[in-house]
Amino acid sequence: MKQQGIWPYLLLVAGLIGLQFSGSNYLTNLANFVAIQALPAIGLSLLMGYTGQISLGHAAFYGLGAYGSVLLATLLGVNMWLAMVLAAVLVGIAAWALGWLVFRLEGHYLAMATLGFGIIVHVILVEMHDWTGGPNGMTGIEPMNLFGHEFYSDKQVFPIVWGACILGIFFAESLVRSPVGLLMRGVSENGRVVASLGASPDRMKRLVLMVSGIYAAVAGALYARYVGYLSPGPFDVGFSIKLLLMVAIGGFAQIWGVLFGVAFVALVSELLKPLGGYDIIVFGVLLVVAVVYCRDGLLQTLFAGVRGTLRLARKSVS
Amino acid sequence: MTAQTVPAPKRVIDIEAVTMAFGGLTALRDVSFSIFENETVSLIGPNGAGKTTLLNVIAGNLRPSSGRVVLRGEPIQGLPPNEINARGIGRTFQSVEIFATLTVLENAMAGGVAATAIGLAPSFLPWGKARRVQNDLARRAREMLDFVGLSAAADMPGGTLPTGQQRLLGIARVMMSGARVLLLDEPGAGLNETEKSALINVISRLSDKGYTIIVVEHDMALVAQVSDRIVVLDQGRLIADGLPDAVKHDPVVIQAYLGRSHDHGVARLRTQVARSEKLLEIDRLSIRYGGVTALDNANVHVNKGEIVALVGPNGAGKSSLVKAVAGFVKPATGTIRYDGADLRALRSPDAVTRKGVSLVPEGRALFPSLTITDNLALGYYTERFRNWGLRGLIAPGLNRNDAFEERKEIAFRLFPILKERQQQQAGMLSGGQAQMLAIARSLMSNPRLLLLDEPSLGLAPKVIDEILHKLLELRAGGLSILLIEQNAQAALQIADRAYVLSTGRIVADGAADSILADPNIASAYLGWDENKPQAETLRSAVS
Amino acid sequence: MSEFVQLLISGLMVGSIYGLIGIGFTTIYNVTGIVNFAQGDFAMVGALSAIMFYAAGSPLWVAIILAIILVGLLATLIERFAIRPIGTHVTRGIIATIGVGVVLQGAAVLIWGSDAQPMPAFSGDRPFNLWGTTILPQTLWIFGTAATLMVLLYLFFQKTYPGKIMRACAINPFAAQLMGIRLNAMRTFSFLLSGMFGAIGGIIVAPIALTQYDSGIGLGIKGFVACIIGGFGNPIGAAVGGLLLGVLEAMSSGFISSGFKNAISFVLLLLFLSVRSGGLLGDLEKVGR
Repeated sequence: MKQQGIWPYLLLVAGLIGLQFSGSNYLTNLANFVAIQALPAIGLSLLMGYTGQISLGHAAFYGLGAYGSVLLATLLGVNMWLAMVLAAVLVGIAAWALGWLVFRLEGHYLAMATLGFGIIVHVILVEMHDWTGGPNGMTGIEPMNLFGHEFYSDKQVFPIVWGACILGIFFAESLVRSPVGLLMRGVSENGRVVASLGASPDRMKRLVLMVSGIYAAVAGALYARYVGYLSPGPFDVGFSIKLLLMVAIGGFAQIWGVLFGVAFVALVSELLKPLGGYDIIVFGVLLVVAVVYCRDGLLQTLFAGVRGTLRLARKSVS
Repeated sequence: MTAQTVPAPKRVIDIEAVTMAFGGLTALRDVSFSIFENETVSLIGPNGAGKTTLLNVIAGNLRPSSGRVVLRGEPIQGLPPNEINARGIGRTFQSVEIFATLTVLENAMAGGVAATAIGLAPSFLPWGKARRVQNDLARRAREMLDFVGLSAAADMPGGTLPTGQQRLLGIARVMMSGARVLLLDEPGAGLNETEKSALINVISRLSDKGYTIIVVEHDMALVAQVSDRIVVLDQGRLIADGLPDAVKHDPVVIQAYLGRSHDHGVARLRTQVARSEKLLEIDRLSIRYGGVTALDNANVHVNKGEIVALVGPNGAGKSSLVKAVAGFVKPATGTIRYDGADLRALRSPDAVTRKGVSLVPEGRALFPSLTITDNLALGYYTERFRNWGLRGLIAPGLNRNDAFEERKEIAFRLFPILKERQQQQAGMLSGGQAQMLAIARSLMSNPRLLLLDEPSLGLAPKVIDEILHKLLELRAGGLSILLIEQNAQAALQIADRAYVLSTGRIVADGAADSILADPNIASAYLGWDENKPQAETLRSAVS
Repeated sequence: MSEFVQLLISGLMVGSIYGLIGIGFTTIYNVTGIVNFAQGDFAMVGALSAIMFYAAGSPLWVAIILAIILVGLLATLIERFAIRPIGTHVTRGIIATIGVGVVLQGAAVLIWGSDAQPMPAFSGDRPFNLWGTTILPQTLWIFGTAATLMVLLYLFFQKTYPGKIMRACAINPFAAQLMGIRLNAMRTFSFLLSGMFGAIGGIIVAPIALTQYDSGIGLGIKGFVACIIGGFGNPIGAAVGGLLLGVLEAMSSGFISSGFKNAISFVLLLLFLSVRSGGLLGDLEKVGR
């Protein structure tokens, strides 16, 4: 098994530094959202791509992390960073518990159960007015600060969210290349064989769901501090499906591909902004095309297509 | 044969009165035997005997309805499979189940991960404990690959290995889990002679290393070479347990394999001489699944009004051949011509049925929740479509039209029991009645060629005789029949001609009588004789 | 008491709609083994296109029939180009149908805008009194249509030849092919039927609830829950499950809190999935009594 290379990281960091030199606040803001959304998308890729278990409720973990970290900080009066960690741990435990409930199911049932979980959490966010502010949401969330230094502007938040994102990529890449990663991939191919080799496939699924939930929760907590305002809207089923799209475009079991998927979806969203509500048509078509016709993700299929055309061209030349 | 002749006296596994029932079907009845330390035991028996079920019970994939499985004094039945592996029993699968997207080395390493008990936390860093465990696994996996002779393929994706090597990889992978008792489920299925000898070599060396091995296998030559002891199951019961030589000559075992049907004078019924006009002509047909060759260059034909039997042990390629004719399997090479038309050119299996070729598949494939009449009505689909087009499918009342009633009556005359039960759900029928319904349903489409896949499977001898007699009646009515049977004794009595298949090749063909009369058929058919190629034995006998 | 009856009636009414959507799921699932996550969107497209045809000047009943046919044809196209290429891969099937649903919602925004649109009631808006409760005439239309369709579908599957062909495909596709039945044709037919059922569900509920591009999501999910409660694949189960779900929702929004009614149906879903995954009635194709 190959160790992970350092080149993708260097390229990414170089690109990010270049982006900073461009001095565009707009691009920085966009990049920050890419970093934040990449975390739940990578988490979902660990679960769906590498372990083969569908989830249509990942927005819930994201939302629980966001609301949880803010509520814990105000209610317990603890430091915001500690609250973030606490929220991530609690969401991890919740995901583990959900795993007990849903991983006796497969296929459509699993999809619907996770979708149901996502909707229940969303309803709770809307309905628990006293805690969450209901549909109006929570305002005035303090920005991140460390040793008295505030991280408020896009540029100040940039290194934090990208630091978290790169760490997330690094951990995920290590995990899928570790011995445990072998079992994850085994579960996605054939859980019965994994069981015959002494590992419980259900336990593996629960562990990965937990990790996946923690990824989403951390991203949610960062989102809350960055935006400074929370409402249930961004944590609905629509976001779960957007995550699905990002992972599908990335090719499911490819961490760096998923980062591309997130960036691609973010860019397309920006380009389609003038279209208003119509952008979802494009996303829907992309989702169908990605899953029906590009089984290894958009990038790989494009590359394969280009390679094929080149080969054809070369053949016709010679 | 392996080196050890004195079995170690220490018992490893005791199967104690294990019974396994699925609904009404009893797959295992009161099976008891023991396996001793460092012994290689083969579990054999005809198709449907319950061998794989027993393996699944031991490995924890099934919980027995009653009885115990005891590992070194501790009952383990009903534990989940991963617990059973952790206690030292490892298994392989009939369908290999290599992780296709993992490399060969990674497949082997995956087998050892659970035993290292590495937690999740260290896995997030590429160095430290995860790295150490990783390196250690890789080192051990390389040793195991070396042991089974796959070192050269270490970096290939598992899915690209040929079947023979996948089986060896499966063994290496389960060895990595630390299990000292290995359950091998049909390790020889689909392997060629070279691959088989590599497998036999690995099994012998495993035995030398002190492993205790249980092999479920159809290939008798392989069984004869690796076994210290043989346990024979038939229809869920243990019918023999002993040294290979004793089991080989046990008349009960031979009968279980060749079938229980005795001569009831059916041969005398075979008076009508078949015309030599060819209805079905299969030319140099080869079928491959992935890397496995199921059928190799087979030439088979069926004349009009003829019953042709295709006999041979399980895994010989018989079912693959009929499935190719029926359009469910795409052959690799060769042609299938029926009544002058090329069947391979048809797009889907339903088109084959509409041409007049009807398959009664193994396991019958009835519609259990529908009534017998409804099952027959669905069998009549093709005729409705032929006679009335789309209107025939939609218009009400056609169900009760005269043509349908007439055909139904013909079916009922053939199998009167179906008439009595016509409003019952098909799932409530006994095995023999279900087989009759399956045949009757096929006849509803007014076929000219009937393909019958293992009609006698799981039926009592008396019922088998009854059904086979009916086939002679159908033949007298002008129907041509290609009959696939493991129960050679029964099939050869009614057939005009027969082909004998073994591991994908036709090893003999000729008049059914001469094959039936051959005194060497038992040994040749079962393939006990490891020195003499079985094809030669039979050919010399037939010619 | 009268509040209870009022809630019961509105629960049964909403439940009939859930049942209809659920039957749409059942019809496709039974033949193809695919759960169509765009089922609710069929209802939305049905309602909005009926409204469009009506606004364009055709009589209401013509508009309705046109809309039902349109959605049926749309469903067959979807089957051909988005579902059939997937084969039997469950996860990809789920994602593809979700994608189709998203496309339908986007197309709805493009064609009809994002505003909620009203549809005239089939026979007036004047409520009448029955046992001390007020009932809208449309309620009767909903009960009548749902009951008729469910009975017809039941008879179709139990008594007619095409119904049995479809059941045969569901019970054992391999055996169905042996009989000479064209599976792909049956798949297309099941999508046609299911699209039409979805459209009818959306249209009959449109006069009492405004319809907009995302109205289908909720309906689809509830229809699925109805199937789970009743037993997936069993049309009678879907009907019973739908009614049960509708009544439970109405009661909980009446006596507990209206905001939580969605959550309650999902708690029910998780409960059934984990405790009794066969649903109340179990499999239609069960042998023996």
